[in-house]
Amino acid sequence: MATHIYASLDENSIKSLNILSSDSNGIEIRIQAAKYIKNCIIGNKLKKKLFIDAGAIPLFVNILNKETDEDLLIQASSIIGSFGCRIDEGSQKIFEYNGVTPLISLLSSKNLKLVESAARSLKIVSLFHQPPPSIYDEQGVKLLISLFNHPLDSVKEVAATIIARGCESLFNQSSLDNMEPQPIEPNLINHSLLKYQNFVHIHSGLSTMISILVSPRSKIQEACLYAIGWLTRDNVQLSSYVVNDERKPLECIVNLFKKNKSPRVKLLAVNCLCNFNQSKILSTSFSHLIKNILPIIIRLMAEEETVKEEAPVVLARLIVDNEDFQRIASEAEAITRLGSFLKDSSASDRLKENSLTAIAVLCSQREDSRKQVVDAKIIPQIISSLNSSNYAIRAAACNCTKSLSRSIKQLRTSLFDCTIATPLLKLLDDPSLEVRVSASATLCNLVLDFSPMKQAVLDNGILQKLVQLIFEPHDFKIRLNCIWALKNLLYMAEPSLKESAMKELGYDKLIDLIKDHDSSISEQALAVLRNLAFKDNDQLVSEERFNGQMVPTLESKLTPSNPPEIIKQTLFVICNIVTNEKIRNSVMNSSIVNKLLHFMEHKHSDIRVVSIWCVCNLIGPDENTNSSVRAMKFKELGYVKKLESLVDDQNIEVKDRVKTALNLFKR
Amino acid sequence: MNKKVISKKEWEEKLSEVNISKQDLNKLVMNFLVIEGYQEAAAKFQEESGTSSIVDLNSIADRMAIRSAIQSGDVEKGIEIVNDLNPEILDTNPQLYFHLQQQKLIELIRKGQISEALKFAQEELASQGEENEKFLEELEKTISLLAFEDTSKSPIASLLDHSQRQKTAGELNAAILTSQSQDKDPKLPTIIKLLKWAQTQLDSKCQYPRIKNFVNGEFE
Repeated sequence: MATHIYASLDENSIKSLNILSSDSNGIEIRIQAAKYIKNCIIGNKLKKKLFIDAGAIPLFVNILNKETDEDLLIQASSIIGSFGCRIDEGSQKIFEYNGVTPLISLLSSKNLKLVESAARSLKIVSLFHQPPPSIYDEQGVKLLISLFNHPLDSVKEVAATIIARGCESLFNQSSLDNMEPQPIEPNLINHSLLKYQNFVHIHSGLSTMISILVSPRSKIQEACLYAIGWLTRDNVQLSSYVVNDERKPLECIVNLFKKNKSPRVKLLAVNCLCNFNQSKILSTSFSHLIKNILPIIIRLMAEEETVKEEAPVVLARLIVDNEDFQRIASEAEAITRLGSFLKDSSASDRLKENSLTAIAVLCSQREDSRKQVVDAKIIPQIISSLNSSNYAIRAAACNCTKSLSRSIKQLRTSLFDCTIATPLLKLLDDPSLEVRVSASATLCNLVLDFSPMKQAVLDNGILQKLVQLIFEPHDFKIRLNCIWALKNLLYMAEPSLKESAMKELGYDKLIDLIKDHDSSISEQALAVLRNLAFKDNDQLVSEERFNGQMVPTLESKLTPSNPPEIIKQTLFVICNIVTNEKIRNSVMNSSIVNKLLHFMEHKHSDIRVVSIWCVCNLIGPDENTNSSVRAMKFKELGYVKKLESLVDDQNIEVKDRVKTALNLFKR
Repeated sequence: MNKKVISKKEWEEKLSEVNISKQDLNKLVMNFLVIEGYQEAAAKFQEESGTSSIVDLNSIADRMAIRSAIQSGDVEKGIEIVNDLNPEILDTNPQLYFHLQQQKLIELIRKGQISEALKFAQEELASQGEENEKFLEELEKTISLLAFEDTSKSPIASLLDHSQRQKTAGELNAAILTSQSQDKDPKLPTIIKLLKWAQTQLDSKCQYPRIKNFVNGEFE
């Protein structure tokens, strides 16, 4: 059969193309020729391809640019639209020959049929490819909004759809920007989603669509829901504009969800509700509604392809940050349904990506959901998705592994067997920032002491990689995750591991990290030192190794202006390092000895606890090394008095510590 | 058990308590006229009642012309009009497009234009069959009509029935209505069915002024 596909254009088609290429023919003949071509290509991919290969697109773009006869223009714009419909090379060629510009200028024509035809073709190009840049400038937005005055509903629908696609494509662009910085086109004033949304709103686009939405008409309501869903996405201001509008669009949206039979309308309505929910502008009574919505979204996953594909991501957005919603969704068999998409080889990339995203959210907090994932036997699919060539799938799979790795139980029972180590480490070099961040966060959990993957990860050269990323200046989150992972790796670690880690990192660099201007990095660096010093019989932590920099650095961290987390970590470090006699002496000769007194009355009870711990460790326990001299010094500084004032502290742990400390002084 | 009796007076009092706007009733009538394709009546009604239709009334004429073209076997003409009306309908609905092409093939076979039918099937329909297994199956079935000298003896002779044309025309009509944000069926017949059902329910419970004739609203 394939030989027939090799067909060429028939005689009439070639004749029609020739008639249109020359200006010498009468207008009626040219219109008839255009109609002939139109009726050949509509619905017929093969014919479209043959005509495109014969150079039809530049021919018709030229007609759109130069022709004045409106009937011929109507035919030509329909033809351009059809070339852009369901065939990629068609829309690419239309962009290449700049066919979108004349379509936009035709929108201002007085001939309603011509406006309809041009608008429809623009919509097709926007849906199947990407919206033309000109819809983002002031003129474009105004033109689109003016289409809402067209008498035909179908033209209004086109306007709403193009505006929605405009937002959608800016949103997708911003996630692509994540991969590598892209130059912003200077002539596009609305290059961010937020700016574009607000721009459409200023020109009363949102208000117009609300009017259409609340008037009861089915198909155009769908397009308006689609557009309102995009105009209110991640936009608190416009979300509350809709929620508080006196025409009661919120009520209408809820009713559309409840009563409309179309699954797509239901999903689009939930999408709007989801935006309002995320903007935290809905009254608390809505949480009951959302609970009822959740099982229905899961049922929508059995509907037509476009609904099925988007439903998981709407679910994910609705339940993120709400454990109770996550429970309801899990109990409504969400994971089974999503898992079946991962196992289905015919599932589209988009469906896989969105399913993984939803699973990641479902498992982010709940152990029961993680167990459901194991029971659904989809771990192999998740791990193999880490190797996908599609960046969005890798990112989503990585978020899944991150959520799953939060389960201590699953880690211990080698939920992921060692096959995860290699792909995960590869993802630390992924072109996508999102993937790298997520991969580094997963690693944090995989290197914990009880994890069977720890050795596999180490064998794959994790130490070098982590240290390299800690010092890469590009992204704060990756640096933080990596130093966090290093801290976890060193928790109760063997001395040999500690030693290799310090060989890789370097003592000076650790001091630099403790001094990092970002307090979260500094906090983790202090925790690295704390883990290093824990039961440090091999004296990996010593003043010499740090070139005398350690105690002064810790001293500088103990100022009240530092955040409590930093103070707490610093005190923990001091607790651990003073078991070393030399270090203890230099601490005794530093201002730390004076500073501890203030922290014993800190408003955070855990800071009170560790500062007393520090005093205990500084005095005792080895009695033969002048512990009484040190005790005396503390007594002189007023520590015993302070401890006595804390005997009735409201915190039980502080009380216990105080008792221990006072006993040490009595010795 | 004695049935409750509701007098005509009581009944009318109750009826007058229900508030139905004239405007809604007019919309109901307009909905019927538009969907059923009574263009002139719709135009007249629009003029007299001031109820506007949400579709261009000229499109009703187009829709009727498309229907009659297909019912009379001129598929090509039907396709031309629908593409003038809205090119998106056939471009985004592969199944409908295939069924129209299939109908065209059937018409060729009906006219006994065997070589044209074969050429058309190869050049136009084969590629669609390759894209979709279901289409291929239907195509093969249609082609097999050619194997019978007397097509009426073929097990699939029903493809040549007038009902097949009506089926195709109906599918296209429904797609056009959907593209115009219209219901596929008018609301009025459903409401009358509901009325009939409600009366049957009431019959077992009470005596009331029952509508005997739905056309003129005559009571029993």
